[in-house]
Amino acid sequence: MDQYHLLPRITFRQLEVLRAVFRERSFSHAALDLHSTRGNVKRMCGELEQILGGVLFEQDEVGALSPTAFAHTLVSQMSPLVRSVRKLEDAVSMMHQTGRVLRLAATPRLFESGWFTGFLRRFRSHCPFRVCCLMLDERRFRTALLNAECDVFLGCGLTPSDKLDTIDLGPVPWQFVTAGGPAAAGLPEQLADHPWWIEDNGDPEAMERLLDAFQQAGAARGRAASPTAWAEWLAKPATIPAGTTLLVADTDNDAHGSHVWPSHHYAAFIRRNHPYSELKSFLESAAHGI
Amino acid sequence: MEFELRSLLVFRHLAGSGSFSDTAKHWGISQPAVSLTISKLETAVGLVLFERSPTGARLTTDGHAFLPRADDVCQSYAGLIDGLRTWNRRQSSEVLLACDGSSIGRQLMADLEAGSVPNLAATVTVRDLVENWGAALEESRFDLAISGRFLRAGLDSNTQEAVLLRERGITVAWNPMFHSFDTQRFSFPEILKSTVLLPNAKVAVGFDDFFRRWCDEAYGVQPAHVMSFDTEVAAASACKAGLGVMVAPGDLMARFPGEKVHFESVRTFEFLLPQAFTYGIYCRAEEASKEVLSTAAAISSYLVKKGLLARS
Repeated sequence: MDQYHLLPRITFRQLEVLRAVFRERSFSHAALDLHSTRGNVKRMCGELEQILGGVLFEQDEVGALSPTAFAHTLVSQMSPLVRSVRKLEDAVSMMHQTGRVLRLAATPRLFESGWFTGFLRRFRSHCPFRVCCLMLDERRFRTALLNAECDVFLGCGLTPSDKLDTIDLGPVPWQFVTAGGPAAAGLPEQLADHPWWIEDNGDPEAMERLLDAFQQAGAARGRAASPTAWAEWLAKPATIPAGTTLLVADTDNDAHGSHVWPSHHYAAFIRRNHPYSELKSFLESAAHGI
Repeated sequence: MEFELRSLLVFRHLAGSGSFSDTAKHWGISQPAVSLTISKLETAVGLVLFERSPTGARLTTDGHAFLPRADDVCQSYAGLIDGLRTWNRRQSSEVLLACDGSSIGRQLMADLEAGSVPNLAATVTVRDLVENWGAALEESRFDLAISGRFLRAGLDSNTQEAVLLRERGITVAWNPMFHSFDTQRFSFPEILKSTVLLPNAKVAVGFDDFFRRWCDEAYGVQPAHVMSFDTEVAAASACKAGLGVMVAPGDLMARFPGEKVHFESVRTFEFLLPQAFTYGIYCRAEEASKEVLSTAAAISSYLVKKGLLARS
């Protein structure tokens, strides 16, 4: 039909303002109707005049406004548009009320965890969205979020990204396993003089940061074990070398870890400027169980 | 919910085409601008409308629910813009004429631009005819259209037609230096073995479709190669250069009086298609503006006087 930039950039609000001023024949009365100020209304009329390239109102010496022929034409022709935009607004607010779809993704592993079940229960009880879940490999969650294939990705111990907003959902508790079976937690300094391992979660940057944090907290440099070796160890704790401690991220329980220990964090990722503006606060309140 | 209403047009096109690059091309903006427009719209309405992928975009469930309402807004927005533009033209007593690509139309266009058409009550702005101009005329994209049409194609109860010229049959023309068809015992299917130069819908509505159907139904064969042209002049010069055989509705050679020496031509199907080619000037059926109607009258009488419509 046309080039985009040749189309006037009118908004619905401007048309509403025009109608009110046209009806009231006064900026200040229109402002009362629109719950706005006289200056604002006058400015918006000026904007509309600039966009459409025609004068809409003329003001006589007393200050009374009279609409020009152009304003008369515009007002008489815009009612179909006003009606259709109202219908659109109604449809949108109906969609907001009945619940918009929220696609919540997580890794297959996190899906099975007790933490996820608990989180989902808290989240569902608060949020006005229709939540549907999908599984997603953590290697492609950034693209998936940016492409709007899903709205939220729940991950554990993943590096944040520039283009995504990250909401911290709390630390993951550790379980300590030695050759003799589960051990009690102490302080990070207790790992200073013997070897310890954690499982490599496939995100080298996050692993590096976690191991650094342990060192700062006074522990010796830990090492990351591949998932297969890790599974073997956990299946047969007796094969764990003596004196070695395994730090297992415990996602089976819906509990938070202590802040004394450096740890992975549960996090929700959403893309910057996600259309659901209230999404962030809902995620935060679900994380803290409020 | 504050957004530019025109962004819904981008939304609608992207929903229909599913491609960012097509949408960008269609609206004459860049691809990132399409992306930005869509995400602004999504933020304004608080809905996720599209799922993106490297190959394009797909509506989400919410996007599907949003589309019909947005479509209504697009239509009334376009209606308002067209209405305002028409009003502006009336105010400045301007008439927008869309001219077809036949030699008559091109000549008229040149004369109007040179200001040699007398008795015009309004400023006449000329532009090229678009495809599907009937709908464009109804939507007030322009006020008058001058064009040829074939058989009943292009007739519509929402447009008014003033017939300027009616001719029988079709003309086949070629350059004798490159082709040798028998003008005495002309056989139409012969020409389908070479390239056919065909004026498109901007010259004569319906001719292109008719020609292809005719080939298919009467001879069961399509031409070896078809080249479409926006103007008759371009097709004729391609024909003169030996690119192929030109096929046009009505009496083509009468429209090119000075060029007859370069062509050999045959008029055919004169009795099968007695009112094949109609050349007319069109306006909206309910047109009430005096400027538009008197402009149409002035243009018609100018064409008659200048002899552009005269036939030997």
